[in-house]
Amino acid sequence: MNGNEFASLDRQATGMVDPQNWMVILDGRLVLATLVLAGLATLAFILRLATGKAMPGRIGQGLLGLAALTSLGQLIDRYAYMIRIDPHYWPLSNLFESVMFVVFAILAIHLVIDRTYKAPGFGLVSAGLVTIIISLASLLPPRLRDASPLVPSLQSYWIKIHVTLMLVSYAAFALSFVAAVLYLFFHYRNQFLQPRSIGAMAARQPENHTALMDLLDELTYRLIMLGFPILAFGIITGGLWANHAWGTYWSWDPKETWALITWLVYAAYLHARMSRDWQGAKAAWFAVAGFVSVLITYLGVNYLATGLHTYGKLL
Amino acid sequence: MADGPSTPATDDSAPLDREQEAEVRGPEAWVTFRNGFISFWASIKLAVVLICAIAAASTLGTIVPQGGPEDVLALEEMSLRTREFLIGIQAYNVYYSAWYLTLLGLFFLNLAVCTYVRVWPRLRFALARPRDLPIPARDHMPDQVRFADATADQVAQTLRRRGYRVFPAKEGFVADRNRLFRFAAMVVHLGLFMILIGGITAGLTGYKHSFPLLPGESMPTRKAFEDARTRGRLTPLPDDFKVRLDKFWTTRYPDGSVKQFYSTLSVIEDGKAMLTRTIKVNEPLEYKGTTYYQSFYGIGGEILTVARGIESRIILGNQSASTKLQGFITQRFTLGKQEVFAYNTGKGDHFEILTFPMLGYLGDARPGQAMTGGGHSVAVKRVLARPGVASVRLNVGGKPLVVPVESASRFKMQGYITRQIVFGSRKVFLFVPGPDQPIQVVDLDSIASLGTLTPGARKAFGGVGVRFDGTVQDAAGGGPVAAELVIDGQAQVLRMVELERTGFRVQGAASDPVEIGGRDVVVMQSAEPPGSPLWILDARDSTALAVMRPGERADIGITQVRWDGPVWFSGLQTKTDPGLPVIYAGFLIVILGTMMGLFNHEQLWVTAQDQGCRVGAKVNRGRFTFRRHLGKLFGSLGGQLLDSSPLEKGAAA
Repeated sequence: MNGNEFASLDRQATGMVDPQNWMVILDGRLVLATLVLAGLATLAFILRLATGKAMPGRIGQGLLGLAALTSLGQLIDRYAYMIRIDPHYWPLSNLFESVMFVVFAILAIHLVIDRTYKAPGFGLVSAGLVTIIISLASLLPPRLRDASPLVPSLQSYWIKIHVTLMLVSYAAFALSFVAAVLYLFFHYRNQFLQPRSIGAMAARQPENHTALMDLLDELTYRLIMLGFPILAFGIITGGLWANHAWGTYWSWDPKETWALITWLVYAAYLHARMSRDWQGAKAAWFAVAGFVSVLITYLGVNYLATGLHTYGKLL
Repeated sequence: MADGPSTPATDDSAPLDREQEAEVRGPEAWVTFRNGFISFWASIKLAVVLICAIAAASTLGTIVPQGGPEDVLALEEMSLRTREFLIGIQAYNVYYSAWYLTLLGLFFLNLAVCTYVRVWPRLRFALARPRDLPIPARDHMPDQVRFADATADQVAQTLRRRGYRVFPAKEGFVADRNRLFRFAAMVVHLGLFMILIGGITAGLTGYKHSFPLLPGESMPTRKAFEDARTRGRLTPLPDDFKVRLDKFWTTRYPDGSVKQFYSTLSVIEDGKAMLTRTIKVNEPLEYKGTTYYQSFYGIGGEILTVARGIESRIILGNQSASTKLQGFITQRFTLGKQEVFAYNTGKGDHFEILTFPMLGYLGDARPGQAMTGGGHSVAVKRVLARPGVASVRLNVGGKPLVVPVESASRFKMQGYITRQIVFGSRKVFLFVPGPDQPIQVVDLDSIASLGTLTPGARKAFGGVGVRFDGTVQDAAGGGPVAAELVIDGQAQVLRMVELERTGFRVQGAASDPVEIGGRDVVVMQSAEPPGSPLWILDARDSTALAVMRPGERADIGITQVRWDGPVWFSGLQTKTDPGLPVIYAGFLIVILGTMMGLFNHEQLWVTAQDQGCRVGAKVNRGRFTFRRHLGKLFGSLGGQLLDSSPLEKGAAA
């Protein structure tokens, strides 16, 4: 695997991007560096949880910090190079770019929120998620990695606001999803262990299992509380843009409908949490459903039907 | 319930506290009804159920194309029963169907009642001073901090410095922060209501009108809006002015795709040009409360026909349209560097050679007359067809009946259908899968299958006995399966598939059905790429009768058709939406409300002791964060966060 496999600025077809340019090479290297750092951080956090020693956790935290820097560096490098080719460029013009932005957003949200938790479990969630996302993204066919020229309706400063907000909310929801899945894992494991005997339960489980679940529950909740207003803002700026471009702020296009569905599912999560018998696992299932809806909105809709966002096969 | 002791709230979803119960007292039956109504409709569980129901219902419209019942018929293979069901629930128009709107109505009723019972108590709570608590209650707060040396006054001072509101209380202080943000959910609800009101206003008064203009043409705005009035809308009328298109043009990327399109518009009022401006997508023109958007573009124009020496002119509609071309195409092959394929209507052995994927037209080839051009040639050697069904033989009530069939491919089904037949009291049509296969009798009104008939079998439909005597074969009616073409001198056998199954469409401008040469035709022309041909399609089955390049002539029957080339038009849209400011305000309030939810309400009670003091604290969400915050806040004063709950271990892990 060499850095060039990650050189996603491959616009040779249109002859606009020079693959030999140092900035293009750097772009690929920075993607690779982010992947390696996140992968190493994942290992460090696994080590931290397995051994109970504090050092690997600190190393993992440091590696994630570095990964956030390389990820930011990659976005800036790409922007600095592309803006000379296309003065309206924004580094979210295709699926690969948007995924790399989500990676940066995940790392940034992690670093901000983890200041209050400093929990290796959360470190593992973020590092593992980033590793998986970049690995999958590097498998994308070149077609989805090339930046393509923007159709008329996309040529607007609104793209910068709308798409950026949507992706930041997806990042928060991705983290909340992993936290919710871990919560459910512990929940069902405990449920599975319970009927045996209290002795077995005490012997088998780490003594702080409920505390860990409380932490995961709070993480899920906080991340959704963060993503929820950003998603609302994102959907609404999309409406404002649509009104500006087409004279309609809402047209039930599949992508906007799915964004609304996502918002509704998270609204259901927030309400379910208020009701005593729907707290815990039931609410966590809503968080999982919410992220499934995010994935459909982000990736799935473009294969469902035609609509205003069909150019979004790249977004 | 009215005279008994108030039922204790079982969970948060039964929101009536004592204070409110006192408010809702009234005549007994009314109170019973009212309390029942309120506690049902104010329930948060109901809200979760309704939100989930709306989310689930909304997915339907992203799977079924939204338009008309024909969109359901055009869906990929599915049973008649499923189609019938989808049409029955208006799956093609979900978001405006009665049941979906009812669901939304129930949701907003839930939201209204829920907000009504909570808004005032919440507002009072949010605006109130922090409440003092007796000392035992303070000690039962989830989070406790002990101070060995620092006095209650010192703690209070620290809190004040950090932005808490601090009030003296019994034997100490009570403090809080972000109390106002407890109102967040109510703000979001109010915002949603404004969006609802704005949406209803838009539905009653808003008006949108799309119109194509050729350069030099103009559109009287007021007249268009008067049309909306006559259709019962309360649309406000603009002043009497016209918008004239002076010029329309497009810019393109190097690969030929459209980068942007522009229209120069002039507003004409009282015969004077008031203003001239160039608009593009994302840059509309606003004039006196109406907005003009660059919405689409396309080509219009006219064709000339000559029959028996009489010349006539057919104006092409400049409505943008898209038609699925019917017929058969070959596998792709290359002519030089260009990928091409051959198109055949399924009747006869005449082929059109078209470029892939843009449907550019190179010429036509038929037996004995090869297509030549650009140094290439394509000749037709023979067409291999599969036998099909020409008609169905029936015996209805003792009388023989032969019913011709047509391909069912426009319903995306393999096989044939008949036109309408009357069986006694029923109007039906038949679905014929293939030669001598069992046929299905389908009710015309409900599109429900009434039963299957195998060859030779008899069944009763609509009160008459019907026997199916078999199908009449059509030697080539199953359509071509392969064609042998001679491409640049080399014979090649190419597989052929039905176009319907590939989804090819001719996109662009379509005329209304007109009669040319004794046939009903539709004239279509594609806007892209430049230089696209003109298609004359059979209005009945969308097969191509002629494909023409600018300046070319073609014969349909005895009529000669001439086409000089396309004329571009600019598609504009104007609209007025008096609901918009309300909707935008609602948007703003929803954003504000959801953001308010990011702040947590923290409450602290400081109790002085002989030596030092202690603090009981509580937060409405995010205990881990809060405890860490408390640790930082009181660390310098020597505060000891009590390790009373298992939370701390998790946080420290």
